[in-house]
Amino acid sequence: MTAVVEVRGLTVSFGSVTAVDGFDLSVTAGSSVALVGRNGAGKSTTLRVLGGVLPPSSGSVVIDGEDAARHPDRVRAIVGYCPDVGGLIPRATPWEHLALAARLRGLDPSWTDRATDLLDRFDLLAAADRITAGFSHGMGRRMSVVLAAFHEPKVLLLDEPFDGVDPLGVEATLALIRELRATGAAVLVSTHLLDLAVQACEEAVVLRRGQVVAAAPAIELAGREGAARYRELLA
Amino acid sequence: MRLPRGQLTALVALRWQMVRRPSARLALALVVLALPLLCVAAAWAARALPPDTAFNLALLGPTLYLAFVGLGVLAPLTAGGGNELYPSEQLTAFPIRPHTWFAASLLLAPLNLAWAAQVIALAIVTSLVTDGAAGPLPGMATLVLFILAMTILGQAIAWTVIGMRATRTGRVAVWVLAGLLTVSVILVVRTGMLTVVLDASPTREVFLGAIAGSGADWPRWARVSIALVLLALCAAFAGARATSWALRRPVSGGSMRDGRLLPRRPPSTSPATQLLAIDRASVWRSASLRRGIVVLGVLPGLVAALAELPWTSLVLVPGLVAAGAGLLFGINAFCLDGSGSLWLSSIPGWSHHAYWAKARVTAECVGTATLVSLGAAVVRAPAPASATQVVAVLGSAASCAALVVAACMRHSVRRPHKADLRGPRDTPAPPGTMAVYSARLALGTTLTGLLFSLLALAPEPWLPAVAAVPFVARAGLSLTATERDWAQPGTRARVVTTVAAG
Repeated sequence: MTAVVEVRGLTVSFGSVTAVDGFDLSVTAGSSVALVGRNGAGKSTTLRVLGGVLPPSSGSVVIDGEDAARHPDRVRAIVGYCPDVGGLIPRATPWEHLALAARLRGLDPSWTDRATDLLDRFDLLAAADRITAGFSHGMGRRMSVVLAAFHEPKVLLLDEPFDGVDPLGVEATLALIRELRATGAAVLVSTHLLDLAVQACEEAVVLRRGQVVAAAPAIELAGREGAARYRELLA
Repeated sequence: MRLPRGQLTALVALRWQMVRRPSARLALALVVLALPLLCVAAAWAARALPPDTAFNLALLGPTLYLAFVGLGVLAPLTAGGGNELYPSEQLTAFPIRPHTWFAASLLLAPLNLAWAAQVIALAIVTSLVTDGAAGPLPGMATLVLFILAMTILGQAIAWTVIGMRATRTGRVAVWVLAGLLTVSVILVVRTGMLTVVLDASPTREVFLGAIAGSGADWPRWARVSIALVLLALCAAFAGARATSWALRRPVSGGSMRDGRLLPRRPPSTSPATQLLAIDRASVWRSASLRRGIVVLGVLPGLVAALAELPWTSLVLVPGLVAAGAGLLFGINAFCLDGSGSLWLSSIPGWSHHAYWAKARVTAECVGTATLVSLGAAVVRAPAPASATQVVAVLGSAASCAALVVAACMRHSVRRPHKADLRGPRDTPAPPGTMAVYSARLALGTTLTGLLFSLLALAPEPWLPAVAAVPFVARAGLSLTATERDWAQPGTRARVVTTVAAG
């Protein structure tokens, strides 16, 4: 099957610090991959490059046939990105975020139905017209997931989507991932919560100091034995 | 009261260490050292003034002293209780004593352009009347005590008002007090009692005390100086208590406002207008920005109106107001998006629209504050002597606003900072950076204002109009060049990741 996300030799450096060092990844349509690893392993930086936020220092990133370095806006049109920190404009309401995304992405007027449905499923409908500065951390995470998935992207990038989210929010996120995968979307999830990574994804990639140290079916990281193996990989 | 020296020293030392670039450290040190040097230089130069001019200036002494009292109270009030060494949420894990908060805001008081300008003006006017037998030093010592006492008193009052504003009743009380004060000032002006009130001001006694020191009238000098020392000590004690009280008060305002349901607007016609609407909302929904725009728009105009400034002097008003308005958020405009900038930069087409939306909302803020202040000032200004004066004021306003907007966008792209502007005392950059930006913007706009004050004397009205063209054109070129810089993926990534997370 053709890869929707094709990363080869991705390197990202900030001055003398190399955050991602020769990263390779291939994700096919309808599949999901978990990026796991310790703090500073390069997970968020990788997702930021895939989301068109950071330019790569070297290497190639091709999303659905579009080169991220040459056509960043075409790549941005394909992906939906939930950043690891906040990801919300402090003094705008969720509805204003969605209206802005609809306008910038050129969605048809029926976006309001999709927006209402997503807000309802993530229990944010009552807060749709409150500014996000007053949101709890979990509410903010849920809203970021809604924004990433709003335009039904071909590639969904979720950075720590479960962090501080209550069980109902986690269920809603898992259900959304399943739905988008069923429509052929590729999903990448970065998380420290191994059990949820196993639930959300079929493949897992373990990163350490910016490099891939293991790639295996996510189920192999499940349970006590999986956790023990994961710890060994991190050491 | 326990002295907060230990905590304060540690906080200041850390803040200094956080200024990483040697050039930034040098600029900050120059800003701090510049004030005493400028005071001495201005006082020395003032002695060369013609006797008539010196006499007329000296007559203004008590009024200038009174204006400093007003500024001492208003400056920390407009900053929501004085500037902060660090945003308060960064220190929640540390047992910072209220006395330290108070001392820190006091320490940062001089990093305010209006405060510094007033101190220089006081040094000039005091030097003109302290050339008696005992020399200028005793009189200048009185001035230093006066500045110290009024600054501490201003901070103490500001913290008391912050404490009052923590509840709805307190906020109503503060608005009522502000309204009464405004009505009183208007009544005094309208009834022609302004001169009588100014003559009865206690600052007259302080000014005479400074003169007495120079004239070796030691009993009078000592009486005034001791009174100022006692006032400073009492204000310090009261200020520390007021800060402790204000910080203990449960804040109801911010969280309640964050929880309000806002009406939905009709959909915008284009991505650019949608972004602009969100940026405008981000400004007006921030308490510190809202207050800043109102204060900057109203206060300078009110002062200019009270002073009945002629049109030749009004030329300088737009520069001061525009520089202040740019400092509200424009110097770090992308901080309006906060952590949302990470999400926004993953949307196609955002970057181009975002840049011009930020530039436009900065221009609107600068333009609104400038026009409101000019409008207020013009109400009581004597009729202009010529059309050239009117054109010079308008040319100065356009040039200063263009200069400030271009500089703001340049700073926003080159030196971004993390700042969410959520709290009442939040600023778009750390205090040292604010001081440096403040000095830079004020220097540029003041020089521009001075140029137009000369052009106001020109024989033809088209001269100041033509003079404004290069300023506006240069600002336009600068904005375009900055946009090219912003369009670079590496530059944009640095800006969005910085304002999102620091």
